[in-house]
Amino acid sequence: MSGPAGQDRQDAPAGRDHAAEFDRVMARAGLPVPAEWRAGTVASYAELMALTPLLRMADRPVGSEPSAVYRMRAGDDEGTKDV
Amino acid sequence: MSDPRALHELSVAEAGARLRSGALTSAELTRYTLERIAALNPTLRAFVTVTEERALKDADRADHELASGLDRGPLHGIPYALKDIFDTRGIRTTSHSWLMAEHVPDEDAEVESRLRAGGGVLVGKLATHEFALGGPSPELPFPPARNPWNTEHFTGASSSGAGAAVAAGLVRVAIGSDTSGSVRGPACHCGTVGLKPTYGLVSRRGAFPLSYALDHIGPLGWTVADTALATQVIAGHDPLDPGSVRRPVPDLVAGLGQGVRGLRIAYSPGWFRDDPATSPEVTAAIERVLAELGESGALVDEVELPPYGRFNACGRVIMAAEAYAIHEAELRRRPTAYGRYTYQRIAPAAGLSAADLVQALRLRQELADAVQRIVFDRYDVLVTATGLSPAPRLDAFPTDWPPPRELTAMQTIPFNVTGHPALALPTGLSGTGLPLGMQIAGRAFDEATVLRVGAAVEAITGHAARRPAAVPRPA
Repeated sequence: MSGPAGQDRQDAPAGRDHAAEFDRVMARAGLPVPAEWRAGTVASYAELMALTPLLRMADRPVGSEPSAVYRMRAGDDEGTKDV
Repeated sequence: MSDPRALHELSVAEAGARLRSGALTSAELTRYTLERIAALNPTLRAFVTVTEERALKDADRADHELASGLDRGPLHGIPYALKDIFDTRGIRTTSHSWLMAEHVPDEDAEVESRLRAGGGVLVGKLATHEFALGGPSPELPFPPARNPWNTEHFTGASSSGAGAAVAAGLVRVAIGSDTSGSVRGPACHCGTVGLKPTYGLVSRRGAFPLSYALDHIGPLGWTVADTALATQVIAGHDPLDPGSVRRPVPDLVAGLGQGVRGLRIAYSPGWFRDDPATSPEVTAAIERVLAELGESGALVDEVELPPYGRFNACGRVIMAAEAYAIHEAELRRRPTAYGRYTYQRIAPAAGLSAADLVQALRLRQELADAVQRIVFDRYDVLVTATGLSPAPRLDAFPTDWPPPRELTAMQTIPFNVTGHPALALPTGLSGTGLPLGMQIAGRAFDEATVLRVGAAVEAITGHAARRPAAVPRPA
């Protein structure tokens, strides 16, 4: 998981039609897209989607749990964390 | 011999000493502050609301209390300001958005409650990017804040008014929020100090959320000591913030003069040194400082961390998903009430999958563990860059998001992902007279060591003695 800066900056898969994909996503979500804002929103969508391969690792153990998993503590009367 | 400096050049401790000796009153200091804001804000656009009437009442109260022997702490009688995402009872809190232009909260944010209890004098609310995200957009209710070192230039990130106000000497300390660098970015580009405390140290309650997992509240100050004092006042357990941690807040000021002898400093140039967005001036200034820290008795080693791109992807996906969840209903109902940048940054997260978010949350824990293992099991602090180049011009921002990467190249998000405390502070000025900066991260809840190293860096650079030379007066 180490390497020089930028080594793992990945572009979106070649040939992916972000504009068509974006239109389907927004329609499914019920989000109106102002016409003048569409081009920038598609570009922003493509940039965000290009990040998602970096979240995945082939050798990640199944026991690698999300940081949001709660660790309950006995006697934690207010639901807050003791450190 | 009397001190020839103007009042705005006094530190929190210096102003506080004068208030306690009777050489200065909070009313005088507050009136001076309000006059300075009136003179410079039409150019800098740092404040969106000035709370003059309340400030003068609070200043009179502080004078009466100090005269009667009641001392509420280091900010007693000291003017301060809040980013306009913090709820202030009875005072408009807009998040710099048309959607909240008329919003007047019924309660104070927890940080505001603590500052008031500490006797501080709120002089106003500060410009931000819309909902602490957007960008320097022209179509919002207020214009973007401008950089006091050159008002044609960007302030750094969303605590934009805070950076401008502190750099211009409008206030000594201001409170901002930092989800991917919005305290440290403005500190870097405006040449101030800014601290993102450890996740859980400062309550987020009453601050408009951007990302529950990544939001941090922290101060900007002109000096490391001012920043430490402000942190001391706002830190501490809040049972009504589910992310708040129950632990005592140590003395953050006592160690500031102790130097760095014997401390172990890790340096991670691999994140930025060969990045084409990095100005050689940024790297050279950091490495000059590190050489001097070494000469002062610190051990400095280069370390190799997981690639910056993984921290960036992790943080940005979590932030986008959570911001979308917060704004989903309004994006459907009245999309054009948002600024163009804000809409273009939040709406695309509709395309993220549940698996994307879970993978990001898994990666977050892995990255936090890696930083702990590589750095903080062996070193006291980690030094890296903040902004990779000096502040860009505001008119370089395009009509649509995303801008060219070099306009927003900040390496701040790794410590929002890991939760470690991180301090941004100046290393000097570029050839064009704009601030350069560095970042010092530390072990969780070890703000004291981070600030201690920051104070040593401040002594090396001498930056606190400089001020923006010519803030243009209003036409």
